[in-house]
Amino acid sequence: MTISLAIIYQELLGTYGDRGNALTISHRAKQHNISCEIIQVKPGEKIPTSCDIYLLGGGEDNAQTLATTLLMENKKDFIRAIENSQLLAICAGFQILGKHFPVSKNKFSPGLDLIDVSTQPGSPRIIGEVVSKSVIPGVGDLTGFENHAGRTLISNNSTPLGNVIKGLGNGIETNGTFVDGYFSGGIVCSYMHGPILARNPRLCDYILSKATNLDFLAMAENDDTARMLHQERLLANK
Amino acid sequence: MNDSFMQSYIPMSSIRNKLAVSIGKLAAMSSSALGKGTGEQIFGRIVDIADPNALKNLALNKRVIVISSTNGKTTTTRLIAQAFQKEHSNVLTNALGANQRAGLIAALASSKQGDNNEETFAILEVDERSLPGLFDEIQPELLIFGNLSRDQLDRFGEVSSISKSWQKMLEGYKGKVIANGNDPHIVFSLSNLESQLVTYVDTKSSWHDDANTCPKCGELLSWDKQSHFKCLSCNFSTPDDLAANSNQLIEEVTNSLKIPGKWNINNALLALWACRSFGIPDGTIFTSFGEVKEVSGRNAIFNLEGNKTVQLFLAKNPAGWNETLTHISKGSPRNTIFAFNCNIADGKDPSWLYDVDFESTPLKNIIVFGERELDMRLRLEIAGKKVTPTISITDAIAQCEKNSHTNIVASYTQFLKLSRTLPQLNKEAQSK
Repeated sequence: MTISLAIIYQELLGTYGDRGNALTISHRAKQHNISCEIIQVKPGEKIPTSCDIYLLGGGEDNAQTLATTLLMENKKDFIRAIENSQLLAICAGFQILGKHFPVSKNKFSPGLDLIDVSTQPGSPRIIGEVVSKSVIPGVGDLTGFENHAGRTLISNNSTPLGNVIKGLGNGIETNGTFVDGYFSGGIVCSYMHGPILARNPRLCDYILSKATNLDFLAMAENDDTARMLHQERLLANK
Repeated sequence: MNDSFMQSYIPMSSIRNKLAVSIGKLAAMSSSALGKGTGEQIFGRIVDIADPNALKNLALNKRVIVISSTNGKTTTTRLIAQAFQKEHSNVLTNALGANQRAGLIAALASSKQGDNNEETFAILEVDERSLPGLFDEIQPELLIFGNLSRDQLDRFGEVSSISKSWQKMLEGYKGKVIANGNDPHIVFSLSNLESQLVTYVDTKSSWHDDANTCPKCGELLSWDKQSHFKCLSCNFSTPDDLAANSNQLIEEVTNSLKIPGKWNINNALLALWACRSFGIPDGTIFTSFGEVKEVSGRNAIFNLEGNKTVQLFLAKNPAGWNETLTHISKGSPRNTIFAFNCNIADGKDPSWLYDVDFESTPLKNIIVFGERELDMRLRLEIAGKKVTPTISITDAIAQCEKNSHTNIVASYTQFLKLSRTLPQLNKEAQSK
């Protein structure tokens, strides 16, 4: 079995080791005897619509704005692309999917408006280890490293990826708790770097399960390096 | 600790200065006695608190040369200082890489003023983040700017914020600059200076991942094979008037160096143009470059028990890691030890390990240890490497066969530890 994965604008949205999510998916797929073709979509190139998984990463302000402009120009293709596939969007990539995000003091850039979230500027910058309890059954606790200034509000009808145990996640307190990211079936968003899939093999397995219609979460966990790292990070942040 | 750097501070006459030095000296001595470091940092901090004008006063009447960049500043500083010491009798420098305010105060206070009537040169490596905050106090007459790349993003923030702060810092600057013409962030930081003040050096530096958008207008930058950049929208580009680095000159620089790696050739090219701008003859520069065999433990070679040799490399960020990996994978494959921590000085977020191209680097017998050994191990496994985890440098070296050579690549805090441990192991092996 072969799956295909597209990294969108790695040159612009790849500041925090985001390529690692693609490498992890490919590595983990191989462990499950699935081969994975990685397609790098460069700025200016057309977004392929037939991939199984799409990745958007984190980037600096200028790069985020440019990536948004390019995605706007390709919005139709992008919507078609993610319709029946899995999308993982981290940090700047998460913000881009929402209604708007800050670009400078009192100035906002419109986002793609594909999910019901919006980002406000915030201070101080949120930097540090973050742990959340994932809403996805079988995925368990998530661990990562957050580093962002924006505060992202998800609508009442939306589901976060996880409820924060340590750190600030989206950075906005609702009913006394903080949440991280956004989740709706095919779309997984988070502020977690690490990269998130390297540090959370169960989340990686969830995305792979959805992309292949196989259930890797039902399988017993291997006591591999990824799982050991996951456990070690959870323990270090208790 | 060297007493002279404290005595030299005395000629400044105010009671406050003298008192500051006395307190600083006492604290520094206590710190050394307790084994809490060399004392320079403590001295610098105490003097700074006791006399807020200390840095400014110490820099007065000295000819200050500042080296700053993300990678290579300690080595470039050392190469320049080595050449200056051949031509001038009063040269001071922060050779150990203490490159923030306290370290600069200690370095500047180390000159023996009054020994002769010659001018004093201060060759100072300065932390790229700290530079704007102390720039006006030290009044440099020459700046050497290497590169700006992603480094400890959790602590230092994103790259463009540094180049913007440098551009602001340089408003009204009338001194000279030697700069890496292949780094868009560096070129941007200098874009408001009069062009005759700046010598751009063609370093062909290969890390472009932090420079895919134009620092000026935000549009896409394009790169050619010569590592020259051009903005497709506003024409911001590698400067036309790059200093001529002929093949012959690069060959001469390469041949003069005892320290390894392409990155050190780039450091040396910047150092060469800095020394030339002060009239130091090329012959003297090349001779002094050849005298530098290691820089504060970087690239140092140790002979250990069982006729095992190890060479120590410091790698702090993806740009540095990629250069180091390219270097150590040349020739016949060697054992490789990776020593990895994520303390504050290493950067607490190791996500950038995935920006390092382990995939295309052939490595043999990989051994890992360190506080964040698991992060490193997973990264290497994802790159398809077979990895042996260990718990310490002694265990790691025990894994290497006799009569073999091993490269050790260490993150910053591991490097500091190994710079102390390896000479000790070397000494023990020699005495057996």
